[in-house]
Amino acid sequence: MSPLLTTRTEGRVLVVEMARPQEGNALNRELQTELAGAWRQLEADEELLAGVLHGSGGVFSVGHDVKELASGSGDQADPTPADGLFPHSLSKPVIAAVEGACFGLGFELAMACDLRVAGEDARFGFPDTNLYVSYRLASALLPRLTNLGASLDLLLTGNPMGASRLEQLRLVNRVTPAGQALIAAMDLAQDMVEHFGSAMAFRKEQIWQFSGLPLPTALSLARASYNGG
Amino acid sequence: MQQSDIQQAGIQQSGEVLLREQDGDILVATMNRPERMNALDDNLTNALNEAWLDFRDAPDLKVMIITGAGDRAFCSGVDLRRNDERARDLGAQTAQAILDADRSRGVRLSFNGNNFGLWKPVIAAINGWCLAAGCEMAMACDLRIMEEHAQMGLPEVKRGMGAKQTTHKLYHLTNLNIGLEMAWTGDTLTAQRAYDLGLVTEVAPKSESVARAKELARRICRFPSGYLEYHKLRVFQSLGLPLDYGMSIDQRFPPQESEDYRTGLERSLSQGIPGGPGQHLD
Repeated sequence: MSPLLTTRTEGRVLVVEMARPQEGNALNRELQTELAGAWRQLEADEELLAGVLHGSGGVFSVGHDVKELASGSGDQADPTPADGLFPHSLSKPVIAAVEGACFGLGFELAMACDLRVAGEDARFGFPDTNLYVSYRLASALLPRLTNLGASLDLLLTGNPMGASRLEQLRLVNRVTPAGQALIAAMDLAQDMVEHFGSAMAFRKEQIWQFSGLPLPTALSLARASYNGG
Repeated sequence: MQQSDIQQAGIQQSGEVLLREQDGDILVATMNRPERMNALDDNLTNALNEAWLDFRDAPDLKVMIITGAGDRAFCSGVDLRRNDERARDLGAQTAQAILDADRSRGVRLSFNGNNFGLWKPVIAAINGWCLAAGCEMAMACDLRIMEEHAQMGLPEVKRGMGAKQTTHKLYHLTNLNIGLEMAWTGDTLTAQRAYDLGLVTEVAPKSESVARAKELARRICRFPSGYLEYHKLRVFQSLGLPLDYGMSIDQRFPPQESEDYRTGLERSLSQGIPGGPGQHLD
C-alpha cells in the first residue's frame, strides 16, 4: 500500500483517504495516480457499490503540489490532472467528505465526486497563491452545481467560500459540525448502498451525461436505456 | 459636483451622463442621471456602449465597475419618456405604436447580450433601484454587490411588456423557477433575498457598494489577465454544452513555458500553500 493513500472497505463501501497530512494532502503525481487506481478498484470489484473520499489531518486537499511542479520533470512538472483522477466517470457514486481546505485541484476533485458532505469549517475555492492553471473541470461543473454568478465569483476573485454558503448555493449537500463530515458521509453511503442493490440502479451516467443535452434528446436516450435494460 | 471638481478628482466625463474614473487597473463608470433614476436615454445608452468597448480594448484596464449616481437608483431601465418623444415625432396614437416606435429606433445596450466579446470581469455596484433594462445590465455583469436598501426586478410585465434579454440569463443565475417568477410577476427582490438565491455576491451597507466592489476588483487584479479571460470564457462556453464536451473543449492554460505560470508557481512556493499545515484558510 502506498503511504500517500490508504483504502479500506466497510461493507460495500470503499473508503479512500488521502494521507499526506504534512503537505495538506497536496496532489502530487503519485497521489493522483494512486487515486486513479483506487477508482479502478472501486469500479472493478463487484462487491463494492460506492466510495467515500476524504483527507487525513483535518484537510481535504490544498490542491496541486507546487513543490513538485517547480522541481519535477516530465509528468511531475505537468499541472494537467492525471488520467482517471476524477471519479465522475465511474458508474458507482463517490461521496466527498470535506474538512478544512478544499482548494484548487482538490476543489475540482471534490466537484467530480457525486455528493459532498462538509464540516462547517471547510473552505472551498481557488485562493490567490494557487497556480495560474486552467480549471477546466471547474469551469464546466461549477455553473451546473451552483450558478453562473457564483462560478465567476469563485474563479475570478479567488475568494474561498464556506460550507454553509455553498450549501445555500447547492454545491454542498450536507453540512455537519466540524470533524463530523466523514461519519455523515459514511452514513449516507451505507444508506445508498442499502437502497440500491447494484451499481446499475444508480443510473449515475445518465444524470452526468444528460446534463446539457436538449431535453427531448435526453428523454429519448433515457427511454432507450430503460428498454435495453 | 462642478466640472472643475470632476477634473480635479481625475474623473473624466463622457458626455455628462456617464462619469468615468480610473483607479489603477480598475475603471469605475457611473450612470449620472439621478434626476431620472439613471434611466437609459439614447445619450446614456450610447455612452455605455462606448465605455464597454473602450474598456474591452484598453490594455491597462482589468476590471470595470458599473454603478449609478445618487443613492436612489442603480438604473431604472429604459427612460420611457424617450418612447413618448419618439411616438410624438411619429404621430403615434396607440400604446402599441409607441412600443413599435421604440423598437424601430431605440439605441440598444450592446452589453446586455455581450455580443462583442468582452471577457474581462465587470462588477455591478447596485446602489438602489435596479429595474428592467437596469436589472438586465446588472445580470449581464459577472459579479453583483447590492446595497441593503436596493431592490432588483423586472417590472415590465406590470406595464404589459416582456423582459427580453434576461430570461436565459436569469435561468443560469438562479434556476428556471425563480426566473419565471421574476419575469411573470414583476415583483422585485430585496438584497437579502437576491443574496440567498445566489444572484449577488454580497450585501453592502448603504452607499458602500462601490468601495466593496473596488475591494473585490483589487482581489481580481492579482490574477493575470489571461487567467481571468480564459476562465470567464470557459464558464460561458460550457454552459449550454453536453457536459463531456463542455469539459473537453480546450487546450491547457497557460502553457507551462509562459511567464504567468512561472510567476504563479514561484509565488505559491514563496508564500506557502493556503490551507496547508499551519497556514491560514483564506
